[in-house]
Amino acid sequence: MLKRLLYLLLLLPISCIEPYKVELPQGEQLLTVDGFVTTEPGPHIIRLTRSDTYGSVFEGLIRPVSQAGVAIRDSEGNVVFLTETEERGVYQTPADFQARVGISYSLLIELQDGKSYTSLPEKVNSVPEIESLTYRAIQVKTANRLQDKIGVQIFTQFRDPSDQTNFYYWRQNRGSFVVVANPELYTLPPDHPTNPRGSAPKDCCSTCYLEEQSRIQTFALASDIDFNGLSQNIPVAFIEDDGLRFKDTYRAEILQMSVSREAHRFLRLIEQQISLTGSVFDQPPANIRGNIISLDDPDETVLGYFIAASVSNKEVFIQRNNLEFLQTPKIIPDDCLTVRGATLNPPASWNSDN
Amino acid sequence: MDRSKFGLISLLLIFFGIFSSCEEESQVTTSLITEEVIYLSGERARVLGRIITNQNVAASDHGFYISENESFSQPIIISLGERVAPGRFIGETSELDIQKKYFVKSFISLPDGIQFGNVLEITTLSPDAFSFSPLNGPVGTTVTIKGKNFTADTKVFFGNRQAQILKIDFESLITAIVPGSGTIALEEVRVVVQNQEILLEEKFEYTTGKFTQLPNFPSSLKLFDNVSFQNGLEFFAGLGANNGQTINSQFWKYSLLTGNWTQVDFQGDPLWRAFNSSNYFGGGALVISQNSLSSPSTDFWKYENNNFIKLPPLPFTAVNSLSFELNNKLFVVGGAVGFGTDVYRFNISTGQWQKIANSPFPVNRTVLNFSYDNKQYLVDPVTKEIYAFDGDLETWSFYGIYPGDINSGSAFGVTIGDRVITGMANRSQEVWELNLSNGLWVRKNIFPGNPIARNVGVYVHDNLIYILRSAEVQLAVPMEFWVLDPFGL
Repeated sequence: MLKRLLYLLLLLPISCIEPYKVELPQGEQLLTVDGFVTTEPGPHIIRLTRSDTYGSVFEGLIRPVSQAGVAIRDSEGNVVFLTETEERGVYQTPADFQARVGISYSLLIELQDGKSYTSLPEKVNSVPEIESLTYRAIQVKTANRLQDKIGVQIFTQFRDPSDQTNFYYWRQNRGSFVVVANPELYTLPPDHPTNPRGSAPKDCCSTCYLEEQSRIQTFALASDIDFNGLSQNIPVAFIEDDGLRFKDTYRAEILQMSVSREAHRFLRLIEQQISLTGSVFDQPPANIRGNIISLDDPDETVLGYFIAASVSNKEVFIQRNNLEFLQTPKIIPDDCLTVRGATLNPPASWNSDN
Repeated sequence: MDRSKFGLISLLLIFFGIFSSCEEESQVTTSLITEEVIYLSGERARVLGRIITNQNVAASDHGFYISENESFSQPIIISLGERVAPGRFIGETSELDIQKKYFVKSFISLPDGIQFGNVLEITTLSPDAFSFSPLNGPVGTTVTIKGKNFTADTKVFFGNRQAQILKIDFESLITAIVPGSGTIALEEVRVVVQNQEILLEEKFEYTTGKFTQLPNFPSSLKLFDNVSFQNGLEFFAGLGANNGQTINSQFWKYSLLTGNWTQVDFQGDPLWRAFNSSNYFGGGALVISQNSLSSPSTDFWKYENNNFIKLPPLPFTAVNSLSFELNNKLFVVGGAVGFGTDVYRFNISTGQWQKIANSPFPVNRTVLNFSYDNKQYLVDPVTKEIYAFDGDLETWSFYGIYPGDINSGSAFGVTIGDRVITGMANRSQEVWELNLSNGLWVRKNIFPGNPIARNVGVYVHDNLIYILRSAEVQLAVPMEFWVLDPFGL
């Protein structure tokens, strides 16, 4: 009897686990504007998309907004029309368009459904030149205690002008590096009919060049409230060592931009949001208001920000010999041209002697 | 009263006194800000305002006042109607004058009175027009004019004639229709914005080329593969094939003085696909054949003093060849023999023939060609490349690319001054003009007649081009005779 009661008691805590499905209300498809114009020659890109519901499972697609009338108007009334590229929802200025310092720019959008949007005017302020770029290898702690993240941090040196309030925004342009491979280590495939995995050294090629553009753009921000008029040395970019990038030489191009106070605030909030880790000390998630306004309904939420900025850019060649520590190099036992996108010709204006 | 009851009541009164308090009505303030002018042009201003408060408002109206003076007398009122929620609002007006100073402030009508925001000062922008395209075209062409700060009442004039404006995009891009032409081809383009007139640097050139149809050819003869030449005020056409099927021995001439076609006596053999230049014709074949080379003729003729004069026979076969005269020399190029690249020179002074260097591409009598400055320009029908043949050096050089239709040939090419008028290839109505001083091609008005026909005689007099055309075999219509004033409107 006691035994039966014991079995019965054992059954009690057993129960089925029912998966919990998060039911989210249908999200609005909000117009999202992403893009900026600078004092660099064009074309400059503006990307228009529609947001979609975010949920625990695949809910919807971020759709491009196509066939819109997009123009950029300056404070003198000059209008430049953007044309849609082959990639839907991506609009570009003419190649000869570049923003001018001291002029304000507004983005004008007319959608196919007749709705009109405008950005608040963004004034282009001058930016001090990058005097130099330096770099050093750093180790960054990660969630994995046994493996730190190793990479290269790039520092910009410039002198902040004392007669104006500056808001800085740094981005990294397309990077390129020497791909080092070991074609002499090539072995035949395992399904080779006569000599599976047999050694078959190749004559070519051990060094190639590869250009890369990270899908996720990292950026750095600063305002001169704390250093107005002083020379600065600020870390502006971190390039992770993936075992391939720093086997020889890596070229990084840094854009130093001067943005408006409002744009700086927007970017700072973005930076806060994307650095959320889920801890109790995080900032609460919030919808960040941009500078795009619907002319038909000023209360309509439009995501994104149109930035107009002056820019100073400089490139730095990161030499392997100058790095204190490196990630364990990855071996490519084949022709380096087998790496997707690799070429034998160096990218334009590659001059690693600088 | 019982002392304990008194004590209890007293205690309750004290507690009531302590815990009771007066409720003070809180005063909620509503702030109104005229934030910024987010759009300003010649006539339009878009202003951003904001109501800042921590509760709803009961505004019967809100919006902006815009006035030319700071006292806001006789303001333009942008009324946005009732408002409950605080927040941003945008007002817009397009009633402003260009290049004028204005003052703008936001307002909100609350139950306890109207409240105004801060005052902003604005100066409307001045309009300008930079360029337009295309720079030439026929009446009805759609042109776009680039500029800035155009107002809704902007007008566009070509000369003194107003153009219809289809739309103005973002106040900076006018799309207009070119109005009817006046008496001159090159017209000034003006843009009038409110009362300001802007004259564009470039002028618009109306497409020229006025066609007039003359009486049809009087006979049922329909010439194909014939010869034609001009002798002063007389235009000649003959030989070839009637309707492309039977050999023709007739010659006809048109007199500009009488305006009539009359038949001319010609004693020679009928020649099919003979060459002809301004004064000479010859070669060809005596019969119509598939390969053009059956019974080739070596007859060689000159028209002089109102007579056909037979010259010594050709020392070579020239069927379907092209010929032209440069610097007292006759050149016969290409044809059905060999690769179609043979070139022969006839020295008119000595009467001697000589074979010279080949042409760079196969040539026949339907190849578009024209002459200028002792050079003959020939258009390769395959590549449309234009090659210039130097009459003195007898060399070929690349000139450019022909922009028009070539189709199956027979386009005319006429030089008038430093302009070349070409076009109307088989089944094409296109006409083009080449400015030889700058090498630019422009379109002329298209040929308004039947395009299913080919040019069988082209003559020039007094800057007018006379064109005799034979409709294709399947069309049983007489030959048409047209005159083109290449610079007429």
